[in-house]
Amino acid sequence: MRARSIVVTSGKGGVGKTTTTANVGAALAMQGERVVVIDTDVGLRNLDVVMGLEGRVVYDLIDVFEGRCQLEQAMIRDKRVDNFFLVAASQTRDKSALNEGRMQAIVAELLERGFHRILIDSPAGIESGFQTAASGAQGALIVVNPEVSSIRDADRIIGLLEARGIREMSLIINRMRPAMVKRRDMLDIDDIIEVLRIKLVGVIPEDEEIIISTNIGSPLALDKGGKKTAGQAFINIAKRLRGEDIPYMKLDGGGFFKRIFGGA
Amino acid sequence: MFGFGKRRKRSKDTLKERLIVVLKSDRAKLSPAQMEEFKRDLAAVVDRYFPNRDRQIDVEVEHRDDRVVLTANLPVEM
Repeated sequence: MRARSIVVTSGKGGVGKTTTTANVGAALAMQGERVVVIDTDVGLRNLDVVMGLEGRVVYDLIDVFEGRCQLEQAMIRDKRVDNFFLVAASQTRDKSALNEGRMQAIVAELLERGFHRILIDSPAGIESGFQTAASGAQGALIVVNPEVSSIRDADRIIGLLEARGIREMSLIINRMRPAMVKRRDMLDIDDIIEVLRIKLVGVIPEDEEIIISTNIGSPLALDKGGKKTAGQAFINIAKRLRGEDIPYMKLDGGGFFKRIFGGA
Repeated sequence: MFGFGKRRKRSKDTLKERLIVVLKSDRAKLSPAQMEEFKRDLAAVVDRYFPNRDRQIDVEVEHRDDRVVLTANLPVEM
């Protein structure tokens, strides 16, 4: 993906935007990029806890917007990997504090300072929070679950992003359950691409390890062992965003995960 | 229609059909009922010129940026 500022969005809540932002951001940093992740879910912030950085938030995005601190004071450095920073959302303010012009100014400043990639974690919905998050982005990662409400909402979001002039959009399918796909009780990858008509960049299996890693505040993609299937899937997404050609394997019965997430 | 043999239709096939219908209607910003009405009206016009037309009619209306794109598939027999 050529875009350096990327909004992570979905329309529907609870599909895995925040987990995706934390893990793709971490994987990009592990691969040598200078990365900032920004939480724009004002009033319902969670990226800080998913990343395990909640104890270090002093200033937040709204403090920067309203001039109470400099941008670098709100940038929390993740000590587990070089060049990985979080800007937290405000938990106490409401969405009225958001401002598209200021969002764009912050992204421009970060890009000017030489950060390679800015990931903007969008709130659910299609209201001002989403619009503010999208206003700072050149590209988008659309996160969906293989079920009807998530796909319908994603289609709506894709239309809204197109209307904003965002051309570069890639799809992440999260919580895929291959056993259900195999018995044709869950949409497969090709079905979802066909319906939504955007380019795929990754498939994340339903994996207990995601819940465990979130419980302890340590994104799977930071795990240097890289044995966990979902963690490897996020690492693969980061590689594809960086232009590497990581092949997708076709769904093929029981070997699906091993083939998609293991070897490739 | 669903693969070979006598494989029975599974829930994902139903979901996919439903999604295709609902997304067409969402993208058109027309309700499913309005969409059907539009198809009927369109068919009536086309029938005046191509009376032997196949009944199957497929219409998509999409809003892209500031343009509205209408795509209709109306098989006719000459």
